[in-house]
Amino acid sequence: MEEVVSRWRESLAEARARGKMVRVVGKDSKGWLPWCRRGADEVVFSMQDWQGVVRYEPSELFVTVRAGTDVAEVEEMLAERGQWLGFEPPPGSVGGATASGWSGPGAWRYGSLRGAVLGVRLLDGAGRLLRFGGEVIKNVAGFDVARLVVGSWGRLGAIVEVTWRVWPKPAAVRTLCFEMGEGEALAFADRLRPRALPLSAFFWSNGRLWLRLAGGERAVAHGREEVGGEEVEEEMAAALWRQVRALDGEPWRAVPEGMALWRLAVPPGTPPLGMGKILACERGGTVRWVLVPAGEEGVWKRAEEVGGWAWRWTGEGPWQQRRQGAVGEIEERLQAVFDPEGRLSGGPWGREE
Amino acid sequence: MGRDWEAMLSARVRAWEEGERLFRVEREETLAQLRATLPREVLRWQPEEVAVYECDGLPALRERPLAVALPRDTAEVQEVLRVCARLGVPVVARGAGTGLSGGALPCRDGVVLSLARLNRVLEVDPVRCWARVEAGVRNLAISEAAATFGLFYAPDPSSQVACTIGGNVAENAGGVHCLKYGVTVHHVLEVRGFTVDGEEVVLGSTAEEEPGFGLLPLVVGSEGMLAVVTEVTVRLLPTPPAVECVLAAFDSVRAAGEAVAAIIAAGIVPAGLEMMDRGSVAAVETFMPVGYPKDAAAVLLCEVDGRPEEVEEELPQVLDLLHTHGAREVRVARNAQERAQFWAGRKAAFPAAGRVSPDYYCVDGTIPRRALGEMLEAIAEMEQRYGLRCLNVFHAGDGNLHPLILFDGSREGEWERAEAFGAEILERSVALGGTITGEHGVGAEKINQMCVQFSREERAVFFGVRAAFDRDGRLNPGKMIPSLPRCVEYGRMRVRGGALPFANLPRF
Repeated sequence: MEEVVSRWRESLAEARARGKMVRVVGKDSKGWLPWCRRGADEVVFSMQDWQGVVRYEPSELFVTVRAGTDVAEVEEMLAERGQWLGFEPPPGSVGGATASGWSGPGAWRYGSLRGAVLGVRLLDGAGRLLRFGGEVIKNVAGFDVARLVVGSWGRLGAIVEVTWRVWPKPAAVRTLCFEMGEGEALAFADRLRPRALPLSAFFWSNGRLWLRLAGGERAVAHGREEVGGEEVEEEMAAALWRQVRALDGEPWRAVPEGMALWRLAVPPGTPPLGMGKILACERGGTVRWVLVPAGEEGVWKRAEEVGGWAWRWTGEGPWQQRRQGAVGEIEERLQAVFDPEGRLSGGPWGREE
Repeated sequence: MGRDWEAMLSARVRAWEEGERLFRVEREETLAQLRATLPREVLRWQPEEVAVYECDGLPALRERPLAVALPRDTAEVQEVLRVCARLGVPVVARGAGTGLSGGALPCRDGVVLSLARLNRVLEVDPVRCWARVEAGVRNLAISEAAATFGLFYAPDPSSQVACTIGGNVAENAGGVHCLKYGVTVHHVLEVRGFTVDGEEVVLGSTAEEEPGFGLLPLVVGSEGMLAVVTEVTVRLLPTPPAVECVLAAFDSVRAAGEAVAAIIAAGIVPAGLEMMDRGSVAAVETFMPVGYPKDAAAVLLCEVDGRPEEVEEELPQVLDLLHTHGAREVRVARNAQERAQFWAGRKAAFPAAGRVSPDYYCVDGTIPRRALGEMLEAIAEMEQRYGLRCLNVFHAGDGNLHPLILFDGSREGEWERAEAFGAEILERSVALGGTITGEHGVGAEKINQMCVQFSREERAVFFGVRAAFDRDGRLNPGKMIPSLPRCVEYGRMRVRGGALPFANLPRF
């Protein structure tokens, strides 16, 4: 630990001396994203070599891992004990996944990565080594800074260690496919939501809906009868969910010239947005991937109209809009608590002057 | 922003670190302005009117507030906040006052802002599966409103008949079903309310994700120190169609703990998993006989829920594991009535403690479950040393302990001994890798033990977070985050050790 702490303080000192910013990177698995490009005026701090599992207690449903550890490695270890990360973090390092706050398809059932974080150790912009939360599921001592750090993209500091809650791996998993359009799939999601079904993932794209069921053998068999659809061969299904989880392949990586890809988070029950070309819907329709001509800025407003918010995925920033008013000011002040000199860079918000 | 804020921030944090802030409040002027702004029926200030607000569910700590406001709508909430902002008056928000950590303990020169009258269920949406309710709506009322649609609100603190959702948000309330379903933070989508200055804020989003920093989880569990919440949107879940509840008796708490570990390791996450020791069982059976085996060293309640075929698969496995781990008696509730009876005993554990002893003090640490045996031995030793009895009930699945220390407040020094006993349990929880509070909050009660769980730098961050929302620290002052002198004093006291007089130590 001491080595990481002193290396971090050196990076901060170097940045201060040369008037630069500090960017934290893990395995650089998100380097393809426009807001993860490194600026020329940045000192890069790598967490990649800070690896290893600190503690794993299967019967207490948690695992504590160093930030540079590969997510896949953690999953392999959990699988040996019949457990998994239900929220399906993106591939890459544990710290990177936590800093991005992304969750995979399983979040529809198991909740987001943010909910699964029980504790973090953080090196902040003032060089302090801090620990918030812990390893127990129920813990309300102090403000929940551990979950504030989730999705902060390195702007509050470098995540050194993370404790995640884990789940028993379901005995049976089956994926069903339905031929249906966007509107039909969203209406179907509305009918599924209030029912006690063992659903674990929802993904629609290109005229097809994929539904994943997970649970006990008999519960899944019954669920399958109730919802219908064509059963998808196991390996093919696993490949599909892997791709969705990694945001790999189309629609995320092959954006046509002159177009921009946007991700919208919208409330459940939101009908088709009727804007640009819909590429995919995830998590019962609460995440939508839309293609619009580059430079089309009406997306921000459209998202707001339906009670959601937009994220520009490709093209030039800003990739996300900062919240205005009192909340925006609170966010700025919070950042100053952890980064008093304003030296930490990262995230889809651009830099405030 | 920029430099000015940073300078202000570090000065503020330093000042707070150095000592808890005293507010110079013009009492007469404050009352006059509140009375000029709000109708009579919204304000209380006569001693007999405010007496009932002197404490919350921790009656050992009391303070008489300057005034109590009971706004009928959000506009009146905003008015109260604006008057207090103008005059620099502290504000303590309050729900039903059922909290167990003195989180709603009034401030002598402050206004108690009761949100109990904001009690309308604004919307239950059976398609989006959410309920939008005002902060004063009772926890159980949400599930009752959702029941017609086959939906329910999962977090269920034992005070759910009375406690409000606003209070649940402030404390990040848990309950008996949180191992499987999670706590309040996992079920709140969005909150609306005001900053300390009366500016409107919306945190979180019904789109299930929040842009920018995760402010919603920061406000959930913030004990009313960051914002005043007036409206909450919660997620509703489909009611599980099948439920089974098992009662098992063991000859040792350790064996019961091992059975719990085995159930979870087998891949079953029970909806509820509760344990009571011999003393608690005896107390419950005296207060409300529900048929618990009185000669058992530990009684375990295990509930599994879900679709009928899931429950049919899991129940035999649970029974099998209980038997192989030494349960000497295992009963499955035959019907809903018997299941309710199994639970009634557990839920009556606190009042039962109140029956066998003039007073009791409920502790709320969480420990890693593997340390359960060690903790119980330590508590047994402390019972001898402090000369007080302790009943143990726990949320066994997640390691959240509720030791109930029995004492007689009318006897000189007993409350102080009980308090020191509780403090030692909390410190031991931290030493074993746990936390000083699993679900009741820090409040005024556990502020000293925050010195043990968090470093000076971590506490400085908490002060900073507080200042980011409330620069003068007027929302619920004197709670949760201890100053440096307090920690120094507490450290000295711990060095002296044991049950020394705490009575002269000012709490605020």
